[in-house]
Amino acid sequence: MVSSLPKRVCFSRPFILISFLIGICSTVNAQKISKYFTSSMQDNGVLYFIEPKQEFENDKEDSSLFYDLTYLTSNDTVTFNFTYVDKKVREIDSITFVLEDNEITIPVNKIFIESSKNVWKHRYSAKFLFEDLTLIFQQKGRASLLVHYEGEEVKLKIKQKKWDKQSKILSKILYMIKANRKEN
Amino acid sequence: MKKVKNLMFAAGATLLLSSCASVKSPLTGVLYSDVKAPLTATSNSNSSKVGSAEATSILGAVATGDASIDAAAKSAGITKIHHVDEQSTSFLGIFAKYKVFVYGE
Repeated sequence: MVSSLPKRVCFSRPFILISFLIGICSTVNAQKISKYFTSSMQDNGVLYFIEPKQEFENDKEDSSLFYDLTYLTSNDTVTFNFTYVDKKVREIDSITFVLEDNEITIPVNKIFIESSKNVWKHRYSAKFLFEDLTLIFQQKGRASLLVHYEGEEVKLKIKQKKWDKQSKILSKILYMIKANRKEN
Repeated sequence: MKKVKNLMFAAGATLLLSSCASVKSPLTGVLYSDVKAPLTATSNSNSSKVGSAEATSILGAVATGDASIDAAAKSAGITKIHHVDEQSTSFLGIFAKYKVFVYGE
């Protein structure tokens, strides 16, 4: 007589099976950096598009900022496009990356501002030097972002655990880009 | 009696999963899928900007977002489109995401 116990266990515990599959998928994804960027060959180099899952927040002001990076290997600068969400319209003039022992401030250019439900989405663009960005993501301490507008500023923070994890991935991507870049 | 219960559970699960979150993709992965594919290309030469836009679905019950080429191009200030790629992600029919990448100038 063949025991039907394994089948029964499998049927009676579908959540164990689902949890197991979630675990496998998240473990597989945690290892690969390819899901964070795309690359495209161009006449004048390789165009990289990097999308970190990093979101800087300010709970008091109820504002947040998320960004993506575009880099063409023939350039020295990386385009830092970001979306800043706020209850009010802000004319942003610059942003500052505040690291434990360093600060990098850059001017920004407006792409558009639009309304979404009860908030305003500000889409802006900035240019970071590739080397500066490498330095930013190599920092292991606390990181925060300052959004400067009309003489005032909003400080946005990120959870340390998230910053550590994402910075590691971004550093690896930038390291890979540097390794592929043709030095003139 | 237990066999009947198991059959009912399997039938219920099939019914539930048949209306779960699905996403447009050139390939099917019932358990997990993460597929990138081409959408369109133009005669414009070279790209220096990339923009993305996405829409998500949960359990096939709620779907939100703007994954249009226009939204993706707008996010990076692209006025001349070179080519467009799409990415479809789904997990067990619980979660699905459709993303568009626009390359251009």
